[in-house]
Amino acid sequence: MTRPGRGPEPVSAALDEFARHWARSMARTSYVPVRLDDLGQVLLGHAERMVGSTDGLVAAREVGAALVDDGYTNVSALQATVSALAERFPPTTAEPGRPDRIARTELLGAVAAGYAQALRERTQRELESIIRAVLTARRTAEQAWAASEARFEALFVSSASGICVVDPENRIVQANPALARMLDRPVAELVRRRLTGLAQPSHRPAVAEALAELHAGRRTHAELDAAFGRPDGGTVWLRLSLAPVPHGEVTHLVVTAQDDTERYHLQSALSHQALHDPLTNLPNRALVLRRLDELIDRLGPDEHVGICYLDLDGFKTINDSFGHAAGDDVLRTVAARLAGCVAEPGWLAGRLGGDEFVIVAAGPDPTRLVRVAERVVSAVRQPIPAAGHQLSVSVSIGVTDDRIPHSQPADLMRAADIALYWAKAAGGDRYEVYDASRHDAQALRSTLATGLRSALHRDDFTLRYQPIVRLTDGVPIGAEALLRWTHPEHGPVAPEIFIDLAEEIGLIGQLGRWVLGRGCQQAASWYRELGERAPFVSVNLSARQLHDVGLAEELLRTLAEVGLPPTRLQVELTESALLGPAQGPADVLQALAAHGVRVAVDDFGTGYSNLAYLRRLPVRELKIAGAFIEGLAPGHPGTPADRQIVASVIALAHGLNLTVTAEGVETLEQAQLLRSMGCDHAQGWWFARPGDPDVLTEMIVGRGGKPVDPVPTH
Amino acid sequence: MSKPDWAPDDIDIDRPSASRIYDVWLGGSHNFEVDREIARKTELAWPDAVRYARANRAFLRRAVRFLAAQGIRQFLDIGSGIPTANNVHEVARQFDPEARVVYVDIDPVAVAHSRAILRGDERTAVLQADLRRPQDILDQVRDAGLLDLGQPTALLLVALLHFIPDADDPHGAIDRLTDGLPPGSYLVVTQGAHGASDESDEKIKELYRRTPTPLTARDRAGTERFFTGFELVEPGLVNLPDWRPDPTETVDDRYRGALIYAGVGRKR
Repeated sequence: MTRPGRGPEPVSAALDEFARHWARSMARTSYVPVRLDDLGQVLLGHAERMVGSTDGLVAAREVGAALVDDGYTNVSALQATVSALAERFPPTTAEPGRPDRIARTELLGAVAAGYAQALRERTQRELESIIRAVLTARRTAEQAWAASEARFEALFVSSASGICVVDPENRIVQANPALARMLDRPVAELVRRRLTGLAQPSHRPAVAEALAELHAGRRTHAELDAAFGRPDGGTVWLRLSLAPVPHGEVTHLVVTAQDDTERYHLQSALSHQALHDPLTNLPNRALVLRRLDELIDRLGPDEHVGICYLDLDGFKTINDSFGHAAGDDVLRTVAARLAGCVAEPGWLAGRLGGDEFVIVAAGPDPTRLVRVAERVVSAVRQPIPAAGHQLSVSVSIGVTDDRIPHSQPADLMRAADIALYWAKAAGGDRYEVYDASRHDAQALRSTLATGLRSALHRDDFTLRYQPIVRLTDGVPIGAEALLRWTHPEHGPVAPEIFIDLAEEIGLIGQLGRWVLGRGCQQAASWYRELGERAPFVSVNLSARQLHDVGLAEELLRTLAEVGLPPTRLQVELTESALLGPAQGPADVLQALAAHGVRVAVDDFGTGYSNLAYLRRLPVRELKIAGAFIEGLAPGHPGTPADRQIVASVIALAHGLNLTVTAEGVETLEQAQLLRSMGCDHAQGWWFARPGDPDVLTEMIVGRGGKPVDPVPTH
Repeated sequence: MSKPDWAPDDIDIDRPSASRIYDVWLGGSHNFEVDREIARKTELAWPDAVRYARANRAFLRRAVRFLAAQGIRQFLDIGSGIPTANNVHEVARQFDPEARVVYVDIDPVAVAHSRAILRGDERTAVLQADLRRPQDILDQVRDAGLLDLGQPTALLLVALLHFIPDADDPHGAIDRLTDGLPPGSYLVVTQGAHGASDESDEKIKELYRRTPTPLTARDRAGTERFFTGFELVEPGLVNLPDWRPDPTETVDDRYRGALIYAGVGRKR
């Protein structure tokens, strides 16, 4: 571009003016960021070229092309140029020495042609460049693909991890050799199969759920362990890791798999160790209890669950006598026999520890468990070779099942343990089936036994006094002291229960002494108050007390201490207590009788009535048991016989100079009959119930007596 | 092994591209019929689209001039598109021939074209990357070895952010990219707020849904949030043509009706 020198020449001034006009038309036609003055200078150059050129058309073409080169690619730039040139170019026609050598129309055509040619070339260039760019971009992408494919292939094919890609329907679309090895199927077989279908049936739901979570986009990653089947029937444990791969509209999942089978087996082995007894390899307590829980949870409507609780008899002796190695041999053999007896599916024999074993079982027939217990008892009985000996071993078994009131695992274990205790208590080498009522009675006895001991210390016992009246006039001549016990929780306890219990636990001696002491105190009190009219107190003595050689002395000392004449004390003994060849009881009674203590035979006629004792013992009175008196009531089925018996006893007693007391007199009729039969004394509800000592006092001083008028005998 | 049949395709010239549509409006021919169709239809909805493209380009030029005058010699131009006249490096070099520019675009065709144009230029580099993966950009910039991000640098996000929805966290990406830049670095942003009318906005959005980069408009507050940690230089956040206009330039960039924010912030 030539730059004309600035000067006052009219031609230059006119051109300058023209260029500025041209620039104003051109500005804003295209995106060419240039200042208007700068554009004007450029266009002035173009104008000068066209004016000064020897070949105006060539120059005009070049100017047209230059406009495109400068970026005026919008056709409105050409339009503005053509307009400007057509209107004002060349600015002067009378330029000295420079005649118009070309016509304006030709000039315009040349500019337009040059512009069009350049624009066409520029457009082609740009198009070519963008197409080249597309091709380059594609090539680059393909190279990147190739590179990533190579990496992918390296990863995919040589990876030790199993890898597969699954489609939205969980079909495998690609799988690598490692996965094929893990599943022991060729890659070609894996492709198009569903990943879920390859999992073991019990694991399919978990696998399907994890895949569904990712397909649905609810999670972006998941891991799970699942077992897959192999064609040879084996199982491979895979730890799966799932991640989505977006692919256009659909999402595939990449699943990588680690073979976890060894770890699983190791874990299984560890878990076996944790749940089995190392000595016998039987399930241990934890597994047995777990199985029991499972059985109870999954029990069918017509099924029962039961357990046998086993304990070897005298196992400690085996250990002590033959050593622990022998003991272990015994345990192993017993365990094997136990397992042999428990062949039913779902049943389980386990070792709880020491020499304790257990069988848990479930099934429709609970008696099968009893039969198994039977089998086990006889199986254990077979001699066991241990440490060079043939040892005889036996077992005790407690059996129970869920038909007991509470049947949670702990209840069953406790019940079986109780039954086991019964089997042990009965001598072992047997089984016992738990019985709730038996256990309840035992439990009550045990509670009462505990209470009995403390009752003595706490003075929970009381004595009630039942008057013994003379039938001729109804005046009380004595009172039977009756022991009463009120348990702080269970309330009044029947004497037949707590007396037996006291015998059993060895408390009867103390209790008997307490009764004697307290009864004598009371009798002494009556004696002080009533003098000769005072009643004697009649106290029951147990056979055991009678065998206590110190009884007589102790009793006489007590009488002296409380100030009671011996004649105001009567001891009652049952026939069975008096029987026997031993001399002790006889001596005691002789000693007491010698001091004036009355001796009465209680419940006469109900025991083994070997009347010989009447000859050698200082008996003073016979008491006819209430059972016979009951039969005296008119219309009673036993009446004729009972009346005869009572009459015979009265006759016998009177024949031996003994007096007779009828017990259990409940009606006026009975009382009148007894009186008419010559019976001396009577006691029973008709006269008075056992009560406070005051009742006696009141009856004796004349308030509340019950005279018995004579009635004709029938 | 063949390319997996589930793997996605990458270069797709059957889909229009934002950078080639932009080229149409600037009078270029680096485009295809799919691009020109969108350009024409957009112009039907908003006849000033061409003026907008020029205004955006003119703003970029003014902003780079401003930054160069402040002494900035490193430019990171993300969303650089198809190079045309007066690219960043050309403007910057008017101040200092040593100025360095890294162009980044997500469009592999734009990147290939830029590389072709700039082949042999040792003070420019062109990277294919995605603003939504800022760490990848930082890694590639470091690998290119052209910019020292410990020195004041201008991050140019011109006519880019309205292609990135909030769900893709452009704010987080900008934080990540500018975190390590020293104070005195700059952030340049243009962001469409609205076009000539709601109706035309909807039409244009619809058209751009056919491109890989649909439009997201942001209001002033949404745009100002990009400048967290930056201080906006005068005249603040304004309509594109109003940012330090140069009345001597002969560019017809006074579009009507629309509001496209432009702003330059200096890192505190």
